[in-house]
Amino acid sequence: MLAASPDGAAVLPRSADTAISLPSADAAALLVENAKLRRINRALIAAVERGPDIAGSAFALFQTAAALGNQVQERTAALTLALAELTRSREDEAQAKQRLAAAIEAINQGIVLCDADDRIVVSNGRYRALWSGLPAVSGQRFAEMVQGAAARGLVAGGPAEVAAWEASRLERHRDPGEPFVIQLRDGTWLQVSERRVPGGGIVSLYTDITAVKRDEASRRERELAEKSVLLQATLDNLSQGVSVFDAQRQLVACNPGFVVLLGGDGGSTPLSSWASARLDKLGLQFAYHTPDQSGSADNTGSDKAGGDKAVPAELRMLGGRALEIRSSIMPGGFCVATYTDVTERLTISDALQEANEGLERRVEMRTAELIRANAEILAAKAEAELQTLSKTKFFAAANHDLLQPLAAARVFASALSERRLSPPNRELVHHALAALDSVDEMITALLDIAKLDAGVVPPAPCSFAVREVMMRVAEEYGLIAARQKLRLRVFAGDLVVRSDPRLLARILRNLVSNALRYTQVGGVLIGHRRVAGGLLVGVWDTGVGIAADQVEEVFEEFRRLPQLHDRAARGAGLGLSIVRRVSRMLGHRMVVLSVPGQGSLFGIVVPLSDEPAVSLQRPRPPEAGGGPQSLRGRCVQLIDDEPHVLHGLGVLLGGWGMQVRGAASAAQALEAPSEDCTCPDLIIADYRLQDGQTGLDAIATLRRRWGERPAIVVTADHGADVQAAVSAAGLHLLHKPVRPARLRSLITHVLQHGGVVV
Amino acid sequence: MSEIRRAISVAQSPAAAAADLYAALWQPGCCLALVFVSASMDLPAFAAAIARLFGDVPVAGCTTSGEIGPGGYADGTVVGISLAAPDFAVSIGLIENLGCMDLAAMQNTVRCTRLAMHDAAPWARHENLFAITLIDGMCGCEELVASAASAALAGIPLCGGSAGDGLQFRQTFVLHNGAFHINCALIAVVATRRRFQAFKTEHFLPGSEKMVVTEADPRRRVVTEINAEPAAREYARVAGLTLDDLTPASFATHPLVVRVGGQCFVRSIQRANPDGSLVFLCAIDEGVVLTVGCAGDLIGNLAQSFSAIEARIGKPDLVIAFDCMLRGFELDQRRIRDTVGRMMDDNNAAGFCTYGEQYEAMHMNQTLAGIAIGASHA
Repeated sequence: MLAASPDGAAVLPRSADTAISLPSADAAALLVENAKLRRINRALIAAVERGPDIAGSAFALFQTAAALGNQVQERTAALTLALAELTRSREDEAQAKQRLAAAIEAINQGIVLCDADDRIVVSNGRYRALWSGLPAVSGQRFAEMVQGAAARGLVAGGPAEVAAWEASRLERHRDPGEPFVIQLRDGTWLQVSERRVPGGGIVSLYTDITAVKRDEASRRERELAEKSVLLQATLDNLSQGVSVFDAQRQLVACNPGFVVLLGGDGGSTPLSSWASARLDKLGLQFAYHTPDQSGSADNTGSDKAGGDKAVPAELRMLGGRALEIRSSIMPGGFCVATYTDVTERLTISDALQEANEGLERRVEMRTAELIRANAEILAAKAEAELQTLSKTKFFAAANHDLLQPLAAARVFASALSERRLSPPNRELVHHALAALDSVDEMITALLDIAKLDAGVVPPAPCSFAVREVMMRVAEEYGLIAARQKLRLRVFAGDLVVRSDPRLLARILRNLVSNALRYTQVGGVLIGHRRVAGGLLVGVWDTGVGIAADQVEEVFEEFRRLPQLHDRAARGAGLGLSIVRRVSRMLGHRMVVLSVPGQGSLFGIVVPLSDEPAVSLQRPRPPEAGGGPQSLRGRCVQLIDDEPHVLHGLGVLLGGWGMQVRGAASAAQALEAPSEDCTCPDLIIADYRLQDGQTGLDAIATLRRRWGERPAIVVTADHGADVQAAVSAAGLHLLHKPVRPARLRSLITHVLQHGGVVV
Repeated sequence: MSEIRRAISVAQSPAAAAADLYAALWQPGCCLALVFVSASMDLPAFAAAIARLFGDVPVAGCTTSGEIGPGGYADGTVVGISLAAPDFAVSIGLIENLGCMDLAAMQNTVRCTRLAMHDAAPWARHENLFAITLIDGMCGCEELVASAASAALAGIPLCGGSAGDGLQFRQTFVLHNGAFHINCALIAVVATRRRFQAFKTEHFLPGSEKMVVTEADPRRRVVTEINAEPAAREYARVAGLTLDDLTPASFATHPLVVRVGGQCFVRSIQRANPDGSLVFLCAIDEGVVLTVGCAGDLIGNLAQSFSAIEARIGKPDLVIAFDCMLRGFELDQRRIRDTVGRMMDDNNAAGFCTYGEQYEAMHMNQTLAGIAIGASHA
């Protein structure tokens, strides 16, 4: 049965109905069916167990493809894509490498790349060509390469240099920095740039710069040649000779000037060889002279940047020519010498020397002459001074001796005129007085002229107010003008001039005096005006005037204008002469402007001064209006050693109502007491008294007795020393011949003001 | 469009047919001529003539069991297609000695063909590529080729057909390098700037009665027993046929269907042997479960496929069609050959009737597979 036969499947098929008898057909059919199912079952199980074995079955492939479908395809796609990309990138890499290699090969520079172990990774053909024959294979050490290059003699230089190069090359390679240059034995110049690359390797770039170097060298040569040509041209055109000797004292270069000095014509070619031969012929080695070639070069040459050393100039003769030789030692032992023909210079120098000596001789001669002349001049001057001194003495004496009697005469005449006289007598006395006045004036003027000519009146310039002088002169001539019925006016500003006030006053007095003399109607103006060079101080009048051709004449002594013949007695004709002399002495310019019949201007131009004005310590003129009454009863002591002067003055003063005591000296005055006047109000003393006494001494003596009182000193001495002494004593001075009007006004003044100079 | 041309020659002389195709297909920049040649043609003469005419332009092709071209279905003719630059580039490889079953060698050949595409069209990207296989229809190892090609092409859309020889089942050829070859598979990798779409369509549904292959020779695609019964008899019993009815027409209308991964695939029978075994046109194995499928709506399916294609890439400029020769029996039985032929022609189809179709990694029967190429650029 089915249950009893476990292996029925193998037994039953097809022959079941014959192999075993079955109870029924259904059973048989079931058995068949069962067998088929077992087979189906087995096939299915086998298929399931087999699974999708790709290698095993095409259907499995189909099954897999269909079942997994897109899933597998997607994965496969991704995989294949990656594979394709990988393949592609491999190709790209290979291509990149190929391109890189091609690029490296294409570069015109040599390239070698070393790895971190300093082994060559890659090099290009250019590099291998530069190091011709050197196997630069990959994997070789760089150091071996360098050693190989040194060993094969590829690098320029001797063994030592190459060894040094090898060491420095490896040193540079270890620490790449600035580019450097290598010269190969075949003349090639290489510039080497090295640089570290990321990852520790070093890439070296070799550039062939031979052409650049060659250009540079040729350019330098060209420049040198140009310079050389320029230098040669310069040398050739030098008038001086130039030579260059080498350390072996052989002439290596010279210029035409040198050849000419040696006697050549300068056109000889070549110069050097000609000059060498010439030097040999002359047996000369003169151009190369060094004091101490080696030693001094070390001593002095080393501290100079240029290294050349100048040798002091030397003077030598050659063929009658004088040569100045200057030489310098150049680096390398060359001696450069310049030769200057100084023959002309020496000749000129000699001539100069000669001329110099001649001049010196002449100067000596002249000096001697001068000394002699000087001595003569000194002698003459001494003589002149002596003469001046004697003149001065003469004038002093003349003054005294001439004027003293005249003063006496005037005093007497004046006293006489004070008396009651018959009209004819009065007329005579007047005439006598006028004549005396004329004489007095003339003598005074003559003396003045003489003194000025003799130079005994030295000008004492100072700065002062010009108006003071002008006013004083105007005051002095106020009475006279009034008598002539002329207006005398002063026009003066506050101006300071520099001159001698005394001499200026004298000029003005003369001019005013003249103006009054030659003016009949109108007036006289003392004024000033600014002009070029200073201040014109002058006197304008409305007088007769002078024709232009007569202007010069009026300055001559004793010249008087014809218009005034009838009044000739009024002037001596010396005034303008004095004015001219004084103005010359002062250095003041004279100005004369005159129109006949209209009037005249006489003046001088005085320099203006910036300095403060000096007060002119002069006695003020006596005030007008002091009548005779004011003097009446006043007692005066006269001291004079001249009895007739004493008498004359006594008469004059007594005429004014004064009590007069006379004495020859102070002692006499004290000895002879007077019943009328025991203590005089005033002392009038002559300056020069007997026994060397002066009026000042006498006054002092009397004052000691009588106490302080007014005093006046009278003197015929016009000297400045007398003036100074009197001023120093604080006394008034009156020059002889004493004019009664001035004396009276002064007496009135001192009696009112205590007699002291204010 | 000038870059795609298709032509048909009814000339019986190989030279005339070649000349016709050359005249119609040659164009500037031409990079591929595909020719589908009736097995009745004097193949060596045609191969020489067409190679001579096209010169450097590669000409590939195979023998057929009927052609599809301008005018629809044809028989005893030569149909050709040409593609030209700049929209197209082609790389062609030939797998020889299919009998050796050397999967790695197949994959390598395919990969090389694919890589050559880089040089031919540097612009081509993965999505610009598709592949066409033409395989000796009598080699019996299309599964292996499809699997290898699909794997090596990394998901590039792949379609192809097995060469036919009328319905003789004696010798089929693949044309390559001016000669027809047996035991070879040709693969053409095509790069295009245009939009394209690979597709397949079938219309059979599984039947209710299941059969199990209980004895088979997978290498020869022979099934000797089904359900532990002689295969032919059992098939005839299940299909409701007599043993005398076992002709290709019956096989076409009563296909065996296998269900894999939720999908149905037809396993077509080439013939029934006198010993009661069945010879298949595709892989078969013991333990496979089969049903007799029933036909669906062929025209509706086709129309649906074309409209789907049109929706994706617009009206195709060309449909390279690989149509199973067994479908032809159905067309004739149902008298829809002209209708379907017009539909094909309307969609610019050109191709041939095959002994099997390759779609992606699969080798199938009784389907229409193809590549539709649009008019517009991608």
